[in-house]
Amino acid sequence: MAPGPGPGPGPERPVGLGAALFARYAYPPSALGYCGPAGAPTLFASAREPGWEEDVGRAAAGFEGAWPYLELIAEANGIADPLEADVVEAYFVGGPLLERVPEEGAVARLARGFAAETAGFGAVTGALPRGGLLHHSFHVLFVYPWLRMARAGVLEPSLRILDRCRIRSGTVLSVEGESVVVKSERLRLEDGELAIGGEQVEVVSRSLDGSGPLLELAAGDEVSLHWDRICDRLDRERAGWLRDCTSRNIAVANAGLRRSRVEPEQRRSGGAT
Amino acid sequence: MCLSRLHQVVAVGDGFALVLGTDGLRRAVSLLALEGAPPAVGDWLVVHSGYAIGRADRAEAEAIAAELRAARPAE
Repeated sequence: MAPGPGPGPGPERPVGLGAALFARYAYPPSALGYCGPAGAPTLFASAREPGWEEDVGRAAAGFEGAWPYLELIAEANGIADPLEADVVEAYFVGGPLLERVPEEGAVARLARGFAAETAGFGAVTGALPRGGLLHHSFHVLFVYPWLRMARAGVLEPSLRILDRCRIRSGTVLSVEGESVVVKSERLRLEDGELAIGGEQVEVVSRSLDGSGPLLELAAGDEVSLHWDRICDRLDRERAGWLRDCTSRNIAVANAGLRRSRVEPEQRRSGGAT
Repeated sequence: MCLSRLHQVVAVGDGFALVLGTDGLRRAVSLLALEGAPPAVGDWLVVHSGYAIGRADRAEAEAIAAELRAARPAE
């Protein structure tokens, strides 16, 4: 990962935006009970009381599978606060900040952190690949067990979880109350390799717990999705970041899948090099 | 952003188990992705995204769970 030109100063972004973004992106798996500290979903969905950002910051640090990425991205870009909006957005959506995270050391640091948190049962130590971007899709494809399980033939629920867990983009078709009909493309395993394609239409929610504020949306808007909820509206640039970062990590995953097919062949034929 | 976690089986149903996490929370998990015979009460499972995906050695899991509980700040 060669350092890119750098993010530049960028436009001024509202105070607390990073906390709000983290809350929206982390809420779906947290509400399902899959990650994060107890109480985080209620906190994330609560109205913006004074001190809300600080509370979200404390809760965010308790997401052991996300916080190390935010720390690494912030550190590599000289940003003091891992919950700064550009950092949070880089992790969940993508963007130029990711190009500045040095691969050397970062992957090893993640692996060490996860191994401690999962007490050796995360099957991540030493297995993380080179060449990926430290984006949310990196975690889904390489730290999650589901790609390994899909490769081993456990297609259901593996592919469904990989698809729902990844941050994916969709186009709004219609809006009714908190329900939104979106068109998106699903993740598939095709000829032994991952591919994104095959349109699906799904009904998702634009609110967190059903009582909070609703994202303003209209037909034709591009949005980011996590599990069964809309996280944010994406402009053209951000939609491009999400697509590019995901594609780049899928390419790394597919290279690994090809190697894992070739190596047993070479062993069988005695032609390993 | 989620990680695989150890959970101990509290009850077993048809295709699912009720488990207790090292965080002290009970959850229902699917057994669809778990190979072999259904687990028994007291067994330790590795759980990810609501699914049991593997089994853990009981002695090792109990030692790890004790360590994690001790490391967690008191509430």
